Amino acid sequence: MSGIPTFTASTNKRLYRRLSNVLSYSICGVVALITATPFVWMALGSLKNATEVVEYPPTFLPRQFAWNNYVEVFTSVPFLRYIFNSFLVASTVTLVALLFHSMAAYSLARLRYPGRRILFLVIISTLMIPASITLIPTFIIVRSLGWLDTYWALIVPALFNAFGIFLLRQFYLSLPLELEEAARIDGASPAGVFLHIALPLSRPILATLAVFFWLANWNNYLWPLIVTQSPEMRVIQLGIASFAGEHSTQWQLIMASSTVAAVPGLILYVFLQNFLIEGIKMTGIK
Amino acid sequence: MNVSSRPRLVARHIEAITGYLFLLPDLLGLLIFLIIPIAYAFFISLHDWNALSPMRWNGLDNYVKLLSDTQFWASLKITAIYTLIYVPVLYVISLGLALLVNQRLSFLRFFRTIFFVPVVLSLVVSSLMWKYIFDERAGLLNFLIGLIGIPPQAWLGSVELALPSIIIVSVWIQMGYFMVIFIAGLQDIPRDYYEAARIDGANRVQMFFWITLPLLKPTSLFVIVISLIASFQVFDQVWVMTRGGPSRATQVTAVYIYQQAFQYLNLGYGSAVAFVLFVVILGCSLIQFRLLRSTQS
Amino acid sequence: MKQNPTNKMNHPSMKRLKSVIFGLCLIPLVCLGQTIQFWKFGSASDSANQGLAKWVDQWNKENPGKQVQIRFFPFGEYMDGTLLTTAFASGSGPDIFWASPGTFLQYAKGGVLADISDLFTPEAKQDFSKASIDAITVDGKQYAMPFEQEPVALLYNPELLQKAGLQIPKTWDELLAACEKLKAANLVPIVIEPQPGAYQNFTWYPFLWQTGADVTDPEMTKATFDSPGTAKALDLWRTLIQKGYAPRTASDITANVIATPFGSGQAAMQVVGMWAIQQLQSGAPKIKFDFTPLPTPTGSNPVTVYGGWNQAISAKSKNLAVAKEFTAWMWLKGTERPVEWCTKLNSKFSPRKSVLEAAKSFYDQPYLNTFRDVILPTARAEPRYPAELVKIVGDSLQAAMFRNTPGAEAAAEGQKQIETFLKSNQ
Repeated sequence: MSGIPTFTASTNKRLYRRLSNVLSYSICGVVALITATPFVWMALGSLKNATEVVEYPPTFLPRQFAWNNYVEVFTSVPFLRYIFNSFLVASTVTLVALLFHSMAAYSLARLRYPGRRILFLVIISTLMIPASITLIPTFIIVRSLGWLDTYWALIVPALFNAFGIFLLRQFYLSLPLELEEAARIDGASPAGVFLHIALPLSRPILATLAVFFWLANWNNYLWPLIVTQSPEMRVIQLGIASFAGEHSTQWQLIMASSTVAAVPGLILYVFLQNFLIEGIKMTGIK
Repeated sequence: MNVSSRPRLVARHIEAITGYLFLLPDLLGLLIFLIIPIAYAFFISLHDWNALSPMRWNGLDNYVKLLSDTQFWASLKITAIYTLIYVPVLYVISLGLALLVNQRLSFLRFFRTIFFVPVVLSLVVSSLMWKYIFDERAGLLNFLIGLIGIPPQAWLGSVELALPSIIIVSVWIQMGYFMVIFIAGLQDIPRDYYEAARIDGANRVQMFFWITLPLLKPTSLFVIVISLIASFQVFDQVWVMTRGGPSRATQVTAVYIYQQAFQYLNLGYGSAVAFVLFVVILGCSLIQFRLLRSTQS
Repeated sequence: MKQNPTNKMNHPSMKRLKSVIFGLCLIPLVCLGQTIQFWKFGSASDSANQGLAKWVDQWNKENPGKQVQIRFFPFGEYMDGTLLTTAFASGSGPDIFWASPGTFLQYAKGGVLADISDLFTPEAKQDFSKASIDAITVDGKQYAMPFEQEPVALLYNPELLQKAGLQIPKTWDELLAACEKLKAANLVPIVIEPQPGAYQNFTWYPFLWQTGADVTDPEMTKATFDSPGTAKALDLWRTLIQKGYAPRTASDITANVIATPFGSGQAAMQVVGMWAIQQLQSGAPKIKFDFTPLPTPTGSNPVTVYGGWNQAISAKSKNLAVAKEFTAWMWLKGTERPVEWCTKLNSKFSPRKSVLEAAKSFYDQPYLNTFRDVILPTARAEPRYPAELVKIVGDSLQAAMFRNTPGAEAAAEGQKQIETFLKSNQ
């Protein structure tokens, strides 16, 4: 009897657990390979020289690490200025939009007033128009406001996007009502409930949205191209695109500049991820 | 009047006023920078305009014209096929990834970051990298499938495979995005529900279908509607990778609109096509809202 | 008595200072009103654009009241139409810009281009090639300034051809036979542009014209696309793709020779333009290459196409006179700048005979002399088809190449659509 392992229900469960963990990690590994490969390809390409980067058949590691590509990115265009512009625009839009959208979303989710459903539908339907068609009308409006070639043109139109309102509204809808009802019974105003109950609880989703907004504005290309003309107002994606010419494209510089462009977003995500986990500890409880 | 209903009426008014006030900044901004441009675009669709000369009133001529425009209908068909595959695949994959990394296992935070990398790159740059991976001769994909004996495919250069290839890229780009949204939604579900279910003897599959999925309804609605809207309007990936080719195999409606408006300088007609697309998207979204009407907890 | 602090600003000397400052602030506003906007594509750092920027600086120094500001925009959006369309649609377009043959006609018909016929005096006109003047003439008037020509030819790698035991193909049959042999030798036989668009059409037109066929009549009123010649030309490219002689995909536009298999020494031939000389010399110095006229169907005369941008002035410009003066200074006054553009900043031909003459020593070099003596004389100007017409022709070509549609069928389909287009465009 002693020394011979017995297969009890708990051993079965442990085996099952271990198998499922192995499976989880293997799937994660495969998916990680798939997601990372194009990025790794780009990072490697950024260190190849002009000829090697487009070679047939392609090389994997660079023969010689062309670090000067990065230098060239920063010296041939005012890339630092572009980074500054994009950073300013993305950060401002993110902060202000989060404020506006959380208010609007809470209103649409929890407050009752006539016309709420219609207003929500109208707001959502603004997402359904292909952006190319509103490009010229929006440009005309921005131009008549005198905002061409200014930060206003880059920041203000970007603030108003139904995406964030929609996401936050769904989130607020999924919050358990008890907390808010308890606060109301205690005499809190609707605004108070929003500030003290709903908003703190929405930190994970706000962190998520912050990353999305920041990235969307950081990676924005077509609109900034149209509304800014002076070199000092250019944004980072324009800088990247400037390495593509009529008959030739400097791929190594596009890859280098894109790698640089990818870094802040990743840092932001990693940083906010911790915050997301903090959020778990808060919302996991009753 | 009943004495007790007075404070309730006041409370109702305060709620309504707060509601409108909270909505005001966004509503105002949306009005100026989205709704008015959309109305203006609709106005343009009733004209014949080449951006250079003054507009010429057309009435509904553009709309009548597109009813018999075979290229438009073909583009709509391609967009529909794209959507029908992309939306479910994206939903399943991003939910699967969210469930995967939401477990209480170590190192999963690292994977969460990796899965998010595609979101960080711009659409154009991702599409350029994938264009290289799909290349017939030098691409990684043909190299890999060659290892298991499959002959090299033309991918983006094949009339049959071009659209699926673009779908693969789109899913790759967006799955991290929606994974994060699902994670946020999953974390909303109070853990006691699972505890209670486990005590009652439910296994993981049952818990998924009876607790997770229903409680994820608001998030699911969001993911499906947003990915639906995005997929009907897909443009950047297609433009970079195939330009609508080969031989119009990937000419989605957004590409057709772009060509009409900015290359052929038929801004009025392009706007009309855009509005028809809008109606299609609106209809599909409304159906989704109906199907997934969210319930309060 | 203590002086009231607010009175300080009203002190007489302060008042004078304020008005001086105010006056100084007006000057940039005044200057801004007079500054012409010159929009060009590319990056401020590429050498050709740096050359242009130097010219602008020189002009600005010599002409203080007539300032020009040059701005660079990403090529894709410049070419594909978003940038300029949006600008003109809202009335805020540049004063000077470059138009491709396709956009030239669209803009001319749209009334956006200024009539600059007065710049083309009889002596000036004499200096230009007839084709280049015709390309920018509408209803007898000139609406843009041509300044460059880049013909298309067959680029080949003599080493690879030799290894496969092949002569330079001169006819279509020889070309296909050579491709078969090269494919058997596991090389990429030939590179042609697979992606739809203006560039694909541009490199295909020579094959169409060599059969004697054309898309429309010269006045662009009648469709002539449905013809045996068109079918043959479509079938040629159809064969090249369907038989696997040319790659179906390319990671970049094949105009970028360095990025094609040819630039890596894997392809034996490529249909490409003159710009490839500079690209190969600087970017792939180890590759041996040479140019020959494009193969013709047996017994026909060689014909090719040349491309090039034209400098246009907006009809809505508030400084029309200065814009014209600047354009004339750039391209008409003497030969100094055109020679610099064509020989130092780039490697192109000029439509002006005097410039070709002045740069004779440059064009006497290998490859360039082939182009000047053999290829350029057979080159027709890139047609000024609007984008919609380009798409129709491109659709027929793409159908033949990728759906294996027989040339005759694709040509007939194209003919129908061209007729519809021409009718709606009258």
